[in-house]
Amino acid sequence: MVLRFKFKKYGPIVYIGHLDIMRFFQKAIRRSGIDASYTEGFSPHLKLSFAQPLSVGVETDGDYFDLEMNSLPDMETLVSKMNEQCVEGIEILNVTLLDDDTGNGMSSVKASDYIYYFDDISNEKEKIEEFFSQDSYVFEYIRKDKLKTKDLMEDIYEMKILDNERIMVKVNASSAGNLKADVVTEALEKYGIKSKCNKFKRRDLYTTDDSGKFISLRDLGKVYD
Amino acid sequence: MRKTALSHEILMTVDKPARYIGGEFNSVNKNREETDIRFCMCFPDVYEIGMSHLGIQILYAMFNSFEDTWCERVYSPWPDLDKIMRDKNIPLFALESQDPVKEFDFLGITLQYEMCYTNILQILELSQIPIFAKDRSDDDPLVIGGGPCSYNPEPIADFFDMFYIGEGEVSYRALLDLYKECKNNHYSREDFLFKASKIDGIYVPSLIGVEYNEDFTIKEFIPLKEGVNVKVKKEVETNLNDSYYPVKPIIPFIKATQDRITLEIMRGCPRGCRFCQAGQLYRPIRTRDVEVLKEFARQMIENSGYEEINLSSLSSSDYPELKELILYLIDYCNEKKVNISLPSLRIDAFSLDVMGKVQDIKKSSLTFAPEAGSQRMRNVINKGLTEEQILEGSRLAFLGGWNKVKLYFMLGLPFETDEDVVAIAELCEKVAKEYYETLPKEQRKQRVSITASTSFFIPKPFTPFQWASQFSLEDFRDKAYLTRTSIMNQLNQRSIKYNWHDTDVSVLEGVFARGDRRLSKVIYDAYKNGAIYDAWNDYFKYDIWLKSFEENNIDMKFYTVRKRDLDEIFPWDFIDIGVTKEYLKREWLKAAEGKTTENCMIKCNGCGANTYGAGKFCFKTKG
Ligand code: SF4
Repeated sequence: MVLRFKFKKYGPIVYIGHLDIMRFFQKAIRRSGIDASYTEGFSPHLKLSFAQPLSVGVETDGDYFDLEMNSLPDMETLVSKMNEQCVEGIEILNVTLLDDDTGNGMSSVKASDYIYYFDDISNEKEKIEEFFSQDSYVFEYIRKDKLKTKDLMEDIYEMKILDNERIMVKVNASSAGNLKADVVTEALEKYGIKSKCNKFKRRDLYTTDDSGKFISLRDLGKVYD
Repeated sequence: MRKTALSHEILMTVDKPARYIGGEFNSVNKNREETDIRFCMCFPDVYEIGMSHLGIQILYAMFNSFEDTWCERVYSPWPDLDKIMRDKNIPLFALESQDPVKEFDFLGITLQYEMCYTNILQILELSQIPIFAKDRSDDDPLVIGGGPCSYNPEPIADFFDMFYIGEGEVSYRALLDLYKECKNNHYSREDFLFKASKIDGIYVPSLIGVEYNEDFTIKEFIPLKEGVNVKVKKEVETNLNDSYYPVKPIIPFIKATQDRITLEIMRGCPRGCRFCQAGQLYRPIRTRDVEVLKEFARQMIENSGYEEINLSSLSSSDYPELKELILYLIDYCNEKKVNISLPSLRIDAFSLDVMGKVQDIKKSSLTFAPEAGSQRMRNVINKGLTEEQILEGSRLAFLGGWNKVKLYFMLGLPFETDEDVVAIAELCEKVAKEYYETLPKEQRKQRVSITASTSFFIPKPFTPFQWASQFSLEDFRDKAYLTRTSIMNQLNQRSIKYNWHDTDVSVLEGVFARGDRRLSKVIYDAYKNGAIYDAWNDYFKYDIWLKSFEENNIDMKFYTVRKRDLDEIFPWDFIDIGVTKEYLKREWLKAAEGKTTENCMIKCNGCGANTYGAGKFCFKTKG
């Protein structure tokens, strides 16, 4: 039995690194008293796995971890019970009792939605549309002192202008081809978008079904809010 | 939403930003409008070290249980942030509210080791509080020190408005009440400090003067205001069963040095080792009832989610109900999937059985702390651990499957000779031999592995060795060299590993341990010249210190290698810890003769600590 928890992270908590967030949830789970499974041996560990780590400093409305259970707690109250063990800035949004045939959830992650917040893009919407509608855009950028070259359009799946300040972009988040969210802002700037991107946050993570359609990691079983 | 004192850009640049954001589980937020007193508790070292300290968690729990008080925390910013704060003139802030420390009523600084002294000045300066107490105004927070180094606060006396001598659980409420009263009546800082000095345990350096003899030893302590008492008595929590305990400890996001629950089982130690300061400072010996400890353990496991629990005391083997406690914890922790990290226990059938249950024998080692190599030397230091006990304990452990032994020693103990140093190597050799004699060849799965570690002995105030001369740097190095070569001369030398640490810092630690008020200026100058994080090898800069001593015309040897007269008045003699100077003197003279003193469980030796009316062994009627 595996439970999938979806959580959001905001405020000062975004400065906590991925490993420490994992440690936080380990303790929160232990405190909550739910009947999770543990490994054998001298120092038993929870069977816990996390999705694609987010960079330090970035908010999220849609991150996940999977937890293997010994027996199920009362599912109706589980979300609020877990939130009693959380702090301001970390919140469990819902929990999914995964269908038995769901494979190892975290390696099946294919895509991530990000929302980018701009000052004002009302005059630049066309140019933004133009950028994202290209078939190919080879971009050179530097990360960790290394020059990287990537055709961004291979890893960008979808773009939607939400309003005068926000756009949503779906990018590759698979372990093989994860596109970091800040590369997109850098590319937009280089392309000539004048409005400044102030921040971005992850909205959700997706896998694909048999037909290749994106489905939220949340929707692979019965969801409890 | 919680704010941060540091901007996004800064938090993204510094290492481990989680050190500065607060908001940890079980940290306490209150409404500042609804509290009368804001207390900022400081451990002057980096967050991960400071968060590992039990004392702060105890006081934090206590202060925040007071409705009128909000206690927050602050730690030393790491050098990367230190620089940014100076460049941008950002005042140091408390973690919970992220408000500047300078807006608080109190800044309490815990003094756990001498090498944190420059970090205190960093805290004050970054907080924009005048470094010297005499320069502070009524608007500045009251800076109060506590913890083990406050038993000789003199080297840092100029930086503090007051010190709290003793266990914080006792007098803080009275101090806060007085503060509120003075604040409501608009009393000056000076008036408050004078009134505060009347509370037991409170030492106000500006009210006690020191007169020196020509040779810079102390002539006398003089009251600087009428009605000031020049004796300050240590405060002691007499009943550990209903004292404050942090059953809801703050859980750091990042891994602290002590990433576990700490269960304090007793205070004080009945053994009376003559080098040990804690053993004297925390007399009389007080224990917590085993049922209380079980309850604390259960609550802390539930409230923290930690994966490990650790028992804390100076000598856990002497806790009367240890067996019951450990057997209970093994059961309970097993059910809750919590590991038990055992304290160092006397090695016998029981402890080996327990060790086998809670740790992997192949990976774990047994630990002895004989502290000295020869029996003669162990008598001098009154360490009641004999060679027979070590060899017998090792034999039992080897039969039980262990093959790693760690031995801890001190070098540079008073009256130590070369033979005593060589005896360290010989004792290691005997343990190795014991292995080969205990186990027939076919049962030896691996070679025996013995690790000997030495540290340099530093005489501390309020111990029988407070009269001792500390050895010089050269002597220390010779002794470490002799230890190494003697180990290399042993038959089984390939099974013996030797560790020792460098010495510069030991000299300085020795200076501050028995230092006087003349050192405040030296510390200030060293800090201004760049000394900071002296407890960290990578940051410790001995040259800066040498220069600072030289410029102030102060000879370190006065504090370290100088021979002290039996009747000398020490800088810390105005503090009364219960244990009398007479008793310490007796112990010092007995040490010189190599005579031992029985421990408190067998016989009361009249140390004086029973004046507190508490103590597990102090009032035992003779059977
Ligand atoms: S008064 Fe006696 S029993 Fe009590 S701590 Fe001192 S020596 Fe030990």
